[in-house]
Amino acid sequence: MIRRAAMPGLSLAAGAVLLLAGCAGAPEKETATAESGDRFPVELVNCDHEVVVASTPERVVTLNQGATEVVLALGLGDRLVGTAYLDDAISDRWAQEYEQVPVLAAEYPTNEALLEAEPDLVYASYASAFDKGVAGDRTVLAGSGIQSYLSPFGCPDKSQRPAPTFDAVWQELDDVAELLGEPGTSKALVSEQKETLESIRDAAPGQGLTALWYDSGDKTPLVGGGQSGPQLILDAVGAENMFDDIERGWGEGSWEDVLATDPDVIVLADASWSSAEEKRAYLEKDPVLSELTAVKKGAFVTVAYSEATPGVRMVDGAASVASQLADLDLRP
Amino acid sequence: MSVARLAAGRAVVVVTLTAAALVASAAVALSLGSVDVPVARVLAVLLRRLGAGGEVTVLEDQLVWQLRLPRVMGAIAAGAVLALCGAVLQSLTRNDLADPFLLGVSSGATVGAVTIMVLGIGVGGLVASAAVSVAAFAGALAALAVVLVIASAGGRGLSPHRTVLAGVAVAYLCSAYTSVVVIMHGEGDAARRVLSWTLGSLAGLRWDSTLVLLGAALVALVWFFAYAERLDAFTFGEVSAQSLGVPVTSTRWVLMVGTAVVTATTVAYVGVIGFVGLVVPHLVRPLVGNRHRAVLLASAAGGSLLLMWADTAARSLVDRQEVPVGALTALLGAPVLVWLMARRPRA
Amino acid sequence: MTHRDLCVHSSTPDLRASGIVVRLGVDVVLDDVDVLARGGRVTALLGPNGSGKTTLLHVLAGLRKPDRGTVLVGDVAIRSLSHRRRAQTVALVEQHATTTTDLTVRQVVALGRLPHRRMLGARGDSGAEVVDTVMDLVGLTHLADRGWTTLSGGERQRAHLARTLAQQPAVLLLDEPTNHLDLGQQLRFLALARDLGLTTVAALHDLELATAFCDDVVVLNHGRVHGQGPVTSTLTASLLREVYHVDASLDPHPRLDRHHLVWDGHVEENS
Repeated sequence: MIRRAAMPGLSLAAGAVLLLAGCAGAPEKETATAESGDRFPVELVNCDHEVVVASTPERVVTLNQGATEVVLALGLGDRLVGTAYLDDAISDRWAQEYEQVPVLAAEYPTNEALLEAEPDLVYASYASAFDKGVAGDRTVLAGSGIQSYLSPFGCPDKSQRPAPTFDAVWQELDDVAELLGEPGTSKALVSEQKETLESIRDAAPGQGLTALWYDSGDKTPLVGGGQSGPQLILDAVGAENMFDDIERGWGEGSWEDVLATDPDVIVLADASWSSAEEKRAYLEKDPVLSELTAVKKGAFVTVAYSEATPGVRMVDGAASVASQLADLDLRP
Repeated sequence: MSVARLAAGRAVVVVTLTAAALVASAAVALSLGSVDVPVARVLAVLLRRLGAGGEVTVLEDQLVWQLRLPRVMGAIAAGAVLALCGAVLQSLTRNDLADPFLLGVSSGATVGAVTIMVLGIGVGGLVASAAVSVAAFAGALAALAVVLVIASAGGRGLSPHRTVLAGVAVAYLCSAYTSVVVIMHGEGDAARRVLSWTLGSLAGLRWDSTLVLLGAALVALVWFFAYAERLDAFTFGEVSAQSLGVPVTSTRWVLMVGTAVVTATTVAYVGVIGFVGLVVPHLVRPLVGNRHRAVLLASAAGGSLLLMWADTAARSLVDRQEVPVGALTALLGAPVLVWLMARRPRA
Repeated sequence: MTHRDLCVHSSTPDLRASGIVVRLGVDVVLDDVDVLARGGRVTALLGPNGSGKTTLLHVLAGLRKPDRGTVLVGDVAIRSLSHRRRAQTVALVEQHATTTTDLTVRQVVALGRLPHRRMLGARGDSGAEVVDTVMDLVGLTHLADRGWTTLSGGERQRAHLARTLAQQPAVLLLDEPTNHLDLGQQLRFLALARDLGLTTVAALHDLELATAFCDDVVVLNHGRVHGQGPVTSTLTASLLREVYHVDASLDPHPRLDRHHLVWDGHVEENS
């Protein structure tokens, strides 16, 4: 696949009002002071690698934005001694905590820069973080007393990757909370996300609408397919994904199909390398695509790329799409 | 005498047949796509647009006239340009391996395109794909200028040998830049986009771009055809051409710059599509002989036909996935080239 | 129709070069060379390898601008002519010019019509008649539709000759035209060229052939003219010793009414 599965942030909104406003507020650290002595050692199998954490990790390094945002969402930012490699920007709600964490490198740090931070746990979103020049092999790291956790969506062996669902995202939150000796943090976070999601599903502002999820590309569009974030979000708001037959998270669509389907609404992914604004301008300028009903009506919904990839921010994505759809009021 | 007439007659037959095949296959290509439009409906759309009246749906018109026809015509134009330039440069440099990208045009264009795609430097309010076209064209001309300056340094005209070497040097330089930029600054799927650009694609061509491509093809055809007899004079090399009254140096400049400019125009819109310019001239010579009037006409028709079919395959082989058209032309071209070389007579 | 009727030039002009200097970097390839090739006669251009014969022919053909000096055809400076007019006046058979392009003999010969055609001139005089005549003249009519790559060396040289004749020149320049030919081919080619009656300059290696087929000689050595004039009076024993470092002389042939080359042994090289 073309798109790497990124691993973004969290949401906390509860109740429709807050939800439609787009969610805000930092998570409270509910069980932060609990005794953690009996919680260790924690053992779990992660991407075919055995992780054994003997005592509370106090010096955590996160690589990739998704991993960083998970730790921040759990309210455990104070454990971070280093972080690196953003895809876009950290969600506003954790920006302040993020400020406190040393950034080791803009992209991946060198092996030495990583070791200099003296981590006891390295948490990454993609397998590439454990390449030779970066963190290095996970077994070797474990040999020198550094434990590691890799997002299951980023397992090198694709067969070990879970299907991208909200449940799988929540499982990762539970894993990480447990490894950090604070299981309660994920319980609270997950139940909030579940509530938010329920209320989005109940409202179903996309009911009866057919949507095009336009990720990037102009000559041929890269679109949201039936297997990942875009599908989960469209399912949550009750809309139909016109490319749900693409058996991947994202794939090449065809403008011909778009013309033939003439979708009711177009979701524009917003990323630094392909902004929503750019794509909207392209659609409005193109002599053929500008004739689409959704383009003529201005039926656009924007969603940050980081909120549409399986991760802690995906519920935010659903909430944002739901609120914009409600504003557009396209339902037949 | 009669046999010579026959050879000329054969060239006419080959060109006519190729052109007929082109029209027929265009009708088929226009009916293929991810939405089904039968050939009869394709013809209905074309007839209505040409003023013959009739009923078609808006969708049929959009699919056939707005999306597919520009792409098919673009393939015809780009194929003609590439094959014409290949034929001209092979004769001009007396080098069987010469192709339209000999003068650094493709690598220069890639530098321009990569600069936009990866570094995201904008070009005055243009949408991304238009900015890439402009930058690719500028990069191609810049590379051409560098090649010509190197090749002509120290006087004595543009020796083919020096020109080829200068082209190689510039190509390496450009590819170094491209690699560094992609590795150091690439984010998201930058590497994939650069790779797919360098393999070329006719996807997303609209009438505005296609009209430019058709213009380039027409210019190339008329311009190079006017030089066809002069190119014949190069058969026995430069001195012989000169003794036949051909102003060798100016002819070489005009044709090299001419091929580079039309190639750069093509590359700006469809990326680097290899092998068409290399193979088609070799393919048509055994059929129409070696006189350049015949070779040029047949190359243009053959290049159009090859690229149109390669592009049709590129968009229909795999459902909802564009196969890079440059990969297909290479896949077809490489074995054909080997076969042609193997059966070539010796001097 | 003979070649003479084909010529657009009513006369056979003299070809005269005076004060020709050609430098290549620091080397002086031709050093103040004066040459006169008389109208309608065959002049042999002789000299050892590297003496500047090919360069001089290119200057005579107007293909190369000398650093100094002028070339006149009749009383017209060759460099003052347009490319096309020049090619209608002077034609050159290059040394061993070949190609991998499989043109037919007729197509090769027809290249000679190029100077008489306009860029997009499909109409009008294609010169087909001229092409037929010159192919007949050099005896290639039966090979008209054969491909270049199937021809023998002698046939190729005759095709080149026919191509230059199709240019309808007043002056014919031949650069080592008999290289790579067997003896019979050599003799037939030179007889053919001689009988054309054009003002002809032929660079030759072989003194014997020069003696047999040419009227005059020009002897070049190290870029300078070491003698020119009628063959027998110019190729003296002392000149041959000086230029070629051999003991040789032109003696009357015992049976034929001409001279031939006789040599006995090598002389020591002196500076």
